[in-house]
Amino acid sequence: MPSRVRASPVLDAMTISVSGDDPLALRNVFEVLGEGKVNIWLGVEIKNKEDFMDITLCFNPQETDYATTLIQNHYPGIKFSLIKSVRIISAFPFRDNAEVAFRFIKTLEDNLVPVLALSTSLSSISCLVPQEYCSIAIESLETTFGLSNKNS
Amino acid sequence: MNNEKIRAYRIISHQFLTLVRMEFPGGSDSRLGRVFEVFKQYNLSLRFFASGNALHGEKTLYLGVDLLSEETVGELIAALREVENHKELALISPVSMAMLYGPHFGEMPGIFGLTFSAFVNAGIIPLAVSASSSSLSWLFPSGQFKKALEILHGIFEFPKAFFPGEENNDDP
Repeated sequence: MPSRVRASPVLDAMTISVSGDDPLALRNVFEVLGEGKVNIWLGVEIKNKEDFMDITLCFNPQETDYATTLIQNHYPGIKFSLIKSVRIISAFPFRDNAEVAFRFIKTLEDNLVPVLALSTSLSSISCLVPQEYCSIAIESLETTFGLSNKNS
Repeated sequence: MNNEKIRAYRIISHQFLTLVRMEFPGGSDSRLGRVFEVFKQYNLSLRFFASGNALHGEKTLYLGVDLLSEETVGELIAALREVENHKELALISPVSMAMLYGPHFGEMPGIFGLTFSAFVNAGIIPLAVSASSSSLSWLFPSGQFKKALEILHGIFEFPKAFFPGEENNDDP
């Protein structure tokens, strides 16, 4: 079971959808952001059934205007939406455990926390939630996993 | 970035996975908890999972589990079909996964784009990508996995020994 739950600083999120027929468009966007030294805190890219690539990227709020300007200037045809003030909530460790994933997701659903994105890494399970749901997300996850310390 | 290899601490790969892809309509209660409850009941190891929303709000969930037998695939499909509100369900086998760990990745802007560019330039389109400040994960069609690993080994260098104690230094 996870031994700690942590939250990132407040970030901004961007959602982009690009046709799977045009992977170069997405490559170009990532290259522009990389050349602009934009730090991506969390990135999730998934190809859906219609062969569209849906991407969620999180930046420091100080970099959001810069990142959006970079994309708009280089690729004005790319459509995206911004979600201001989100946080990444992560539970450690995770280790491929379906029961931990179930309890993590179920806790958020039971507490009506909207989940904008989900991902896992080598040792954590993470979700992206609006800032205003951060406290309830952390408190409920700590309760679920029997953790008393506050990590946020 | 220059042409020097980037230090990474560990690479984990799973060559034979079954990918479960579920899609939910925008604005609906997606009931992801019920999906994970099914996986828990089957005691499946979740090697990869990611979920994101499309611009128009539809939610797609990817779960990668160890390659399933035909019998289990049938049972899992039947169980997942009972999940309310889902729009699409597909099980795809085999797919492969690579996961790269580097606690310093968060201090290296551009690493996400660098790897994606290298794959696309080689004609490899990952099925899914998940990136945090200390790890990168990709899901590939199995036929592209060998080439994808070669590309990763061309970009990153790995220590000869891995220290397991570093595994949990995975900051959000």
